[in-house]
Amino acid sequence: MKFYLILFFVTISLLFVSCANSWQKISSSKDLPTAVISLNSGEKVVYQTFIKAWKNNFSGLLVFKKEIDSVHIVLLSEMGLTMASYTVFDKKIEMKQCIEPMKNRILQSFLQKKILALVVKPAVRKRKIVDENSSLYKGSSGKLLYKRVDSDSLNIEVKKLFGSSNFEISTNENSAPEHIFMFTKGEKVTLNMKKLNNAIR
Amino acid sequence: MHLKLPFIFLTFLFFSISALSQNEFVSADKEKVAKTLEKQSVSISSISSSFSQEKHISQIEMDIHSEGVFYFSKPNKIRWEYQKPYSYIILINGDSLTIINDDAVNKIDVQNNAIFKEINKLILASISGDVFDNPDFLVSVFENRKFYKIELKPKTESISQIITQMELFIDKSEGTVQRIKMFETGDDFSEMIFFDTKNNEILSDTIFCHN
Repeated sequence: MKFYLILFFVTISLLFVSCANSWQKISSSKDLPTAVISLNSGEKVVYQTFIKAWKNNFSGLLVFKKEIDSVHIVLLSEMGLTMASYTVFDKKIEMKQCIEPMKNRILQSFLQKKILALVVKPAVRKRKIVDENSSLYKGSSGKLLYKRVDSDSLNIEVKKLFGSSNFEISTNENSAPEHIFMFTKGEKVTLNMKKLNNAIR
Repeated sequence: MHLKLPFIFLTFLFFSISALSQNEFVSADKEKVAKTLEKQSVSISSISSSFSQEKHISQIEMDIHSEGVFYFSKPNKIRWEYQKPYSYIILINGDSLTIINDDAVNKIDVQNNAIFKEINKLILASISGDVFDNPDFLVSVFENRKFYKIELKPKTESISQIITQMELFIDKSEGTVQRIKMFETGDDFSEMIFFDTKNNEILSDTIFCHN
């Protein structure tokens, strides 16, 4: 009898452990991960940005404005010249404007993937809790690992959702990203962004 | 009483129209303005000034504000220092152009970079009032009571793909640029306003160098 009781408790404990580490279907939209830069309709945000792409360096400002069903993104030089502008609808990106030195096809392809990864909510359906600070999300095309490093920094690893990217994010007291460093292992394209709070008029 | 009211109204209208017309720009004699500005620029060896800049992004109806300080020393030294919203410095010393962005220093050889070469030439020419002989721009001159307005339209494709028109507003009494408006392709524009301008102050060479 005692043996069966111990066996019962061991089985129940194992069941709980295995459930905790298995994939759970996300039933509520509030459990879905948000986009790295998640804005409300009409909200605007400006980041000082350094783009390193192979031997090219671009620096300036990345301006984001959320509309009801799209996000406008404008890349400016420090002196204020518009270098490129894009509109993101759901998972599609449209280039509106681009100056000649930025018109490189490979550069644009990389840049547009990075922008999508920044502003689009990842399409995932399942979640697995790895530990108390980390969660793994799964969609039809790829995976996403969220890891809270400490109270004001977060690491996100994206695999195959808009390409693959790694984000190192420092957040402010409202959990909004203040500093974003974006890179991909094996790629020579990085984005380094710092939020500017006093640039918008 | 009935006669007085229309008289006051007409007098007010007359003065309003004449005040308005004094601010309105009319076409000016290019040769004459060029000679006046050339004369004024001879007496200026250096300029130090503060500036504010508004960049209007038409697509999203938004203005980005920045400000900083500006130094110029004859013949070809410029320090363009943005202080807000973050620090960014452009140093032009002859053909060398240095950009200091936070701690990163980037040196550009102006002679090997066509766009920078054009922009460098244009900045120096507009500050020294020597924009009239530039073969790369179509120049039109206007004036009102206080300012000369010089409109520059680029002829070269490399520049016109970025800037469609530049407008320089030069103070008639001082001969210095008070405002620059830069129009881009796609309806965006930037406006730079210079204030607290001081001419002929002694500027140390270290202002134009990066250590």
